[in-house]
Amino acid sequence: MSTVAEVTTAESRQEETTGTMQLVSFRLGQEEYGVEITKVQEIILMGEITRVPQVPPYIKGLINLRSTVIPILDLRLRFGLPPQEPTDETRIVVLNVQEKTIGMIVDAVNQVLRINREQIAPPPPTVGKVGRECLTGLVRLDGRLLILLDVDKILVDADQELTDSSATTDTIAE
Amino acid sequence: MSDHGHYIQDEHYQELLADFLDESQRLLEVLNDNLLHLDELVQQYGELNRDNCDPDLINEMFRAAHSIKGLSAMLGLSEINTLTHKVENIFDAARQGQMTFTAEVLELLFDSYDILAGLIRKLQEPETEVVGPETLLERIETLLRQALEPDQESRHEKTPPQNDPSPTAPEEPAVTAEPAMTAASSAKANQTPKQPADTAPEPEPQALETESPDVPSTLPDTAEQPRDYFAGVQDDAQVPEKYLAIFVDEADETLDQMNEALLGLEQGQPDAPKTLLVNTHRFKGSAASIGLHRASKLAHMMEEALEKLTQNHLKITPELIEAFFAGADALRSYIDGLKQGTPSTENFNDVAHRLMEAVSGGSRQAPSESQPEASSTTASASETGSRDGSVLFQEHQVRMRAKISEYDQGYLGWVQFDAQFPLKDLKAQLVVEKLHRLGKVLYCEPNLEELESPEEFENLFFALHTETDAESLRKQLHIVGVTQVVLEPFGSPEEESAEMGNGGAGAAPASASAAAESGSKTQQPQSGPAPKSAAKSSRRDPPRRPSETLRVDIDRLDQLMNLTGQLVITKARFSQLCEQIRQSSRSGRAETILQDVFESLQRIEQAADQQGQLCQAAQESLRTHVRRIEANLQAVQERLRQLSRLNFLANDLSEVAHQMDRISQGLQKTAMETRMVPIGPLFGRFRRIVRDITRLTGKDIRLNIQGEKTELDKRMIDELADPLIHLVRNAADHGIEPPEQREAAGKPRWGTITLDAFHRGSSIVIQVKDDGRGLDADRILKKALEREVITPAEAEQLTTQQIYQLIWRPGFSTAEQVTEISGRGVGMDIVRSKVEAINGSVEVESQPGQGTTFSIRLPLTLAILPSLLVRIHQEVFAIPLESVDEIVMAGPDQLSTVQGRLVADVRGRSISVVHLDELFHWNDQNPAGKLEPPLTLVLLRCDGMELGLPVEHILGEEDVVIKSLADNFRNVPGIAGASILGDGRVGLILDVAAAVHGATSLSANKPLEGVSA
Repeated sequence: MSTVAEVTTAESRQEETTGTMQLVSFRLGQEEYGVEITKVQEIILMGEITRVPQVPPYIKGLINLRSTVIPILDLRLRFGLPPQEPTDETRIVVLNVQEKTIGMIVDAVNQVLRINREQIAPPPPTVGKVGRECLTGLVRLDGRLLILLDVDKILVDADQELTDSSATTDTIAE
Repeated sequence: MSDHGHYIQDEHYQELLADFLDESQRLLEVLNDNLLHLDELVQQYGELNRDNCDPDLINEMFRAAHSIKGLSAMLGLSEINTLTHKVENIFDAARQGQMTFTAEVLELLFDSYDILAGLIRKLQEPETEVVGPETLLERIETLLRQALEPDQESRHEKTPPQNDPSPTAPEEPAVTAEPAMTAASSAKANQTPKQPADTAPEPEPQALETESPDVPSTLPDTAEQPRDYFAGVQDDAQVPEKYLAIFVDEADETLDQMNEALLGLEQGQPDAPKTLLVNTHRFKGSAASIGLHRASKLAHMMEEALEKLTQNHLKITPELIEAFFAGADALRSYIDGLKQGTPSTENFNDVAHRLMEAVSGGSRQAPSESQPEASSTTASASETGSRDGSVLFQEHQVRMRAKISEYDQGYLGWVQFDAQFPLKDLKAQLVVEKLHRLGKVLYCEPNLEELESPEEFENLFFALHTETDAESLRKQLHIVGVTQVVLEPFGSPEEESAEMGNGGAGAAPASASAAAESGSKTQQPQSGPAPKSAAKSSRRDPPRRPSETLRVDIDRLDQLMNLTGQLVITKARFSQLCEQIRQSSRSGRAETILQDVFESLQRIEQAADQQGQLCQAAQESLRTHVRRIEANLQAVQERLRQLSRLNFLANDLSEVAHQMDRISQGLQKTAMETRMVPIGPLFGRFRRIVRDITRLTGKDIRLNIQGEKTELDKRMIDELADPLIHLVRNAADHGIEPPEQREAAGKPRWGTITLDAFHRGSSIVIQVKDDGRGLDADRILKKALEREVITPAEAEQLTTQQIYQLIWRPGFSTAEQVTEISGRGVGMDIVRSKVEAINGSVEVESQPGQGTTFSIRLPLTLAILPSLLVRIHQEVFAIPLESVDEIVMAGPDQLSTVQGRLVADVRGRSISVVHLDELFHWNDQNPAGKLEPPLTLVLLRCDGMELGLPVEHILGEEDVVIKSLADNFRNVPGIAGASILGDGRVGLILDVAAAVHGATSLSANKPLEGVSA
């Protein structure tokens, strides 16, 4: 495990200098998103999720990932899109962010691709209000528009909200 | 020795530091315990000096300080080193009767202890801020100066027996730090260990040097004299078994490294002497710290030689290397002896001689051939010398035995006096007086008053009935002028060892050495090692093999526990799969049905035969079809048979699963046990805390410690320290009343705080109990209203028990004044959250005027929780079994409502029923199947409150492995964690305390809401 991680970090360091980065792209509704490959641990099929009370709605619950309990976040709900029943294409992207492992539900996983950093354009100010802070930029590829996600932010913001809400529930529970 | 720091190679440093921390922790405990003991004595008697104080007490503290000093020097920890050195000086002065323990001295010692403990803690947690020892060092310095200087004159009056003025022994040199090197000893200056105080518990060695000037010059001879390097160096009579085990383990390793380094030395490796030095020093330190002073002394001598070697004062010679090897071997065989549990007869002295010869040979470049010869002859001479005494002793023993028959315990003793010592009859009288003070003298020969020619008197034989142990008896009797003391215990508890003592005495002459050899004044007025070994064997319990231990990183144990936890999960899944296979492999009635079909087919065939009018072709076709069906059915039948064989296999499988169940249970238990440590040391810390509080408040508080052998998970013990300190301080500060109030209430002046730990079911209970005033419900209520913890309306409904529970609310304090001890009283809720963090619960019980008891209830282990699995809201919840009172069914006639809230009647008790959905907010809109009576209620209990929780199904009991939600997510109110169930799904662990408290706020019309985002 550690050697793999080292290789990838070394690779990414190299990429930073050469100006390219590898992305995993996935679909959410009609939009295509990209996540840095170094953040992605694995991609798994939807399974049974244990629901948890007292959490924000976009937290779907918990799953057992090889004896580790990880939370599952529904990215549609996180970004304010209408909920959708899982299909054959629905996947969970397992991310390693800030020493935590979380899963996010996406409509479909498309491909792994490599882009140049120069290709990244800043997000237009009119992008939807929810989750806007999680976007690092846009990439235009052969007429496709790829939205770059900052997963650190996804977690931080979600986390922030979580801690805030947990603070309130804590006091109520007391 | 502080210059040893640079010898340490980095890779060794961390390991050494870990050793040091481990070791010093134990030594600090020794210091603390003994200081407290001394403190009690000082409080009783006002002041203490050597005469009215147990010498063991001081010696033990001296050794503890000394060991820390040595270890810290090795690691280059100069602050600790300086401080312990000073502290050691205090104890040393006390041992020599130059220091009187008063309350002030003790205060100083306690302060030193605190700073020392702080410095050591800082090594563990570098961010801790500690007070430096500077001012303290000055205080100690002043104390020592005061103690040593004006004492010079007054010492004679103060301690007449030990320091009886003897013309031959001027006393001043004994006071100086370095033993005076006299003409006699300067010849062998190189080989004289410079630190007699190091391992010798007796102050006398210096006296030996001072006697030499009187010797008519026999200089060349004395230089050749065989010397007992181990004179006066005695092992502690009792080595605690568990420390012995650790020591043996460590020593093995150290000796291995020593041998390797020696081989390196032989091959001329440049860093070999340093490695050797580190190892010998370590051995010296650890041996001394558990009281094996003789082994320590040998290591010390080796170390000294090595020091010379590293400073290039000494050349490496084959003899030297051989001597080192001999030393290492001697230590090894000694350790092996310890391992076998057989008291070994070591040959340290011979080895020491060899070493010293090699050293002097190496340094002077002049090997002296005559030495070995000389020593062997004198040794045999001394043998004959003391044989007279021991023969006499044996004769006397026969007569003594007649007198001791009715006494159950005591000693037969033989005190040998230095034949050349003037006024030795007076000394003998002193000895006899001491004996009378120590116990009942049953026999004493010769009768001193009738002694006609005191000049010829040399031996005193006695039988004493006493409860004093051999070690202190020996020390008492060992006064100036006595050459040796031989003690042999008698009586029931030591019958067995008495024989060994006998054997030891028999072997005595071999090493009783020069002591008995009359005429030579250069020998030490000390007992040889032989009587010592007799004493050692007589005191020690029947030898037992020390259990072998291994130091393991706790993270590895965590990992082991974690893996075991996963095995438990897998096992559960395995059992479930077995059951499923068994069910699906059951062919059931399929075989009979098949048989039935076969028969029907046959009948069709027969019928077809009889139907003659049917056309031939049709008949034929029917037959073919039937046959084909038959063939197919046969195939099916075959398959069914295979299935039923599978059924057998499934049975076998479930048997294997059962076996695995047993194994995993055993594994789980063992893994758990590896992490268990007794709670005693943690409790022990409170002696000091209570003492300090007593000082500050003027209350008289006694601490009663019970159940210190109860074992807990190491991590839990670490986590428990803070909450316990808080509870004890609270009990001492708020619980126990001032003495006057107690008297007025008809209670004894002193309050008692009891710390207790015991097993109750599958959990461990730790109690902090005081016999103080108890919780004051009125004041709590007043405070709660003041702080708006509750509303006046709520207040009216509360029972006394419920009022007590208010103390757990955040920010609650009943202390009218904030005191230095228990602070601002913000602690109770913190106590609770700390305890809950380790899956425990804490409850309070109180009787006004009688006292308060806090009970902390902990699971046996942190990782695995015995739980009841239930289904609620279509999810599986694990409820910790310790919170489950019972499970009941409540029909419609047992359910009613009070103020709109559901209440169940359980055998006459009214128990409020709260649905989990009322407590928790769920995100999904489709409500769980509405529960209709009869309800299955799980009765939960927490903090004296009861709650009925309706569940959809009871799934059974299971040991679940707790997974923290915070690891990858965050904590969720009401959920204590998650667990992976037998089917691989995630289950939630219910936080019973939160649920019960949530339910109470429901009843108080405060709706509990989840996140409404």
